[in-house]
Amino acid sequence: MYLPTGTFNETYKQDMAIIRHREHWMVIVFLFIICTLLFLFVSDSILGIINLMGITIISALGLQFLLGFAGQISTAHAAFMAVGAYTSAILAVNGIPFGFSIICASFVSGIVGIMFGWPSIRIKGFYLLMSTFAAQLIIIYSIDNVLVSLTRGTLGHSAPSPRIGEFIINTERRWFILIISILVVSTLVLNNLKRTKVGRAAIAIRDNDLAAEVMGICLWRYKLLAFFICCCYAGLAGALYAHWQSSVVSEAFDLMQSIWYLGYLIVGGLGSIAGCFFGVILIIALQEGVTRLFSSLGSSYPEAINMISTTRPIFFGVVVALFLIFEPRGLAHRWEVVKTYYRSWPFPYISKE
Amino acid sequence: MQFFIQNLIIGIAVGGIYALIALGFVLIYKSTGILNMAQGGLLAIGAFICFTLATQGGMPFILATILALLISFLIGVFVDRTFFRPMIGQPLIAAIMMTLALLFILDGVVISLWGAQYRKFPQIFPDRPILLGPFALSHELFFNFVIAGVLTAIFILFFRFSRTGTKMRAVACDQQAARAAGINVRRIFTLSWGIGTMIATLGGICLGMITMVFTGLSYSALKVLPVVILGGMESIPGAIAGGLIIGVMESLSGGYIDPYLKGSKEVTPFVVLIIFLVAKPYGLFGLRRIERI
Repeated sequence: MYLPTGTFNETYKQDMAIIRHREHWMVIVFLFIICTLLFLFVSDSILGIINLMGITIISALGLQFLLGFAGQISTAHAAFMAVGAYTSAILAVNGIPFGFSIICASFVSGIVGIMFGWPSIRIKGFYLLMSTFAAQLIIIYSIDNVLVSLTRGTLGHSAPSPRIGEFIINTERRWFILIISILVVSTLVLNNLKRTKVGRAAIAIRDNDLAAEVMGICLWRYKLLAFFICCCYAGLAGALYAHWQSSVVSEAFDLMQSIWYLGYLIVGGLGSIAGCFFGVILIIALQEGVTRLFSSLGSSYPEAINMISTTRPIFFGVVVALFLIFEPRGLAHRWEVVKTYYRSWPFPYISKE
Repeated sequence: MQFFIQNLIIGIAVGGIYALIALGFVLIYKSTGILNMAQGGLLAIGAFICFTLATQGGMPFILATILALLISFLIGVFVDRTFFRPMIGQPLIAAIMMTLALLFILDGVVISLWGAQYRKFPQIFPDRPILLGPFALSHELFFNFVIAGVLTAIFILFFRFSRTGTKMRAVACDQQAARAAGINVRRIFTLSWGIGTMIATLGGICLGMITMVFTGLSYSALKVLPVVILGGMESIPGAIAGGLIIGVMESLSGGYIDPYLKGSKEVTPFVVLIIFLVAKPYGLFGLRRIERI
């Protein structure tokens, strides 16, 4: 980890600051300008895609903590989102204000996450994969069949547009502000979590759980905490998704969706917060690009329209497989390479690992 | 009582087929250390190939099955060479994601080649059921159970006594020691994938004859995963026992709980799985791993 030339951290406070040098300021100003430009000049349909990306990133951040930092795999991420989505929708319909309902949703999701993370105390690897796989099926089944009186089963549940004071959030442009601000806050929270006691314990568990336990880290507490944090993020994202779509159907949170989340992290890079952003943005942008390409072909070749849904899984599989073979450390690693090159610019031999 | 025994018999028959599919998972896991989540995709594609050969190719069913098995062996070899050879030495999560990516690719290929319709294998067994005293069992189910049982026995004998089978067990036991003893480990990996895919295809054909041939077959294989976990992932007897237990449980919950709770048949194995994992994490017959730091 190199700092740019001329950056000296003279106090502990400087060393721990999130924004430490000029380049950080440049990136932040650049991102702020981009967001403003997007808000002012982009059409509603594209803003809709960006909102989807934002919600997906919030959710992916949670999975990043569980998988990238704590090293526990979960194939039930979409199901945990569904829990949050339904909780928030049900509360909002009963007149609970928006801010409170999404916090409740995230908390309920976290509790459900602890329940299904329980087996992780004793198992890992493929066995954990299977238990979360079971969690996905059981949660979606309960929503569809067992809790019908609450969730209205497969019909779906309506979720009213949120109202903050006199301000009703019902257009893509208003949603954009809300989602981006929640995204910024949740990124900061995760970034801080990563370097506190919890985050360091999680990383120790990922690297070697037995060694971590020997060093005095309470395994079960931190594993369950990792599940709780992951599911809080999932619940928050799910609640946002429900209100954004103004309805919630369990089909939107199926097993395939959970696997897509794992794919985002693989493409973006495990164990990196920036990686979540890269992975989600790349895959959703590519996917939208392919969809639009096929629909524009549809005017001359009608079969192309049908191919959209069938080629999506192939496309996803191929992208993930290519990344695993050629760049297993994901886009985040590429980004690190670029950064190192910039920092050591006149002396290119430093950037060679 | 009669209702109970009837469900029990059906459960055992279906469980036999589950055991066969579980064997495919165990085989690949034992030698390569990868739990192949894409087994379902391979199963569906095998069933569809056999279906196409039997209906559009106009072949007799036995010939179509044998040809489909050969083709699926080649698919398995291809999958190993392109997807899993680069995964040697990579962390576990990479291998898991690779199998999931493969599952997506295979699902997409099946949908784009054969569409989402339900198809039926040509009828080769008579329609009326076999009567075992007061209990009835359809011909398909009975013969599939027999076929699955015979094949499982053949595979067990193959592992136990043939030279290649012994090599496979050696690789499963310790890759480095096997390599030192002069076994070509990569070739064993390729062979395991080939044979694992063949088993998947057989399972697909058996399942396809009981239900239908459709894209959801790939999901049916995922339903077998609790079987593999229940038995312990390294254990062939475990796969058989797990297959029978899950088959019976599914059939009984289909008979007793389904009238009150629609579709409980699909989830019961998974509920049992989670309880089981908390209580006995390495399955009935699985190896208890001793780790060193």
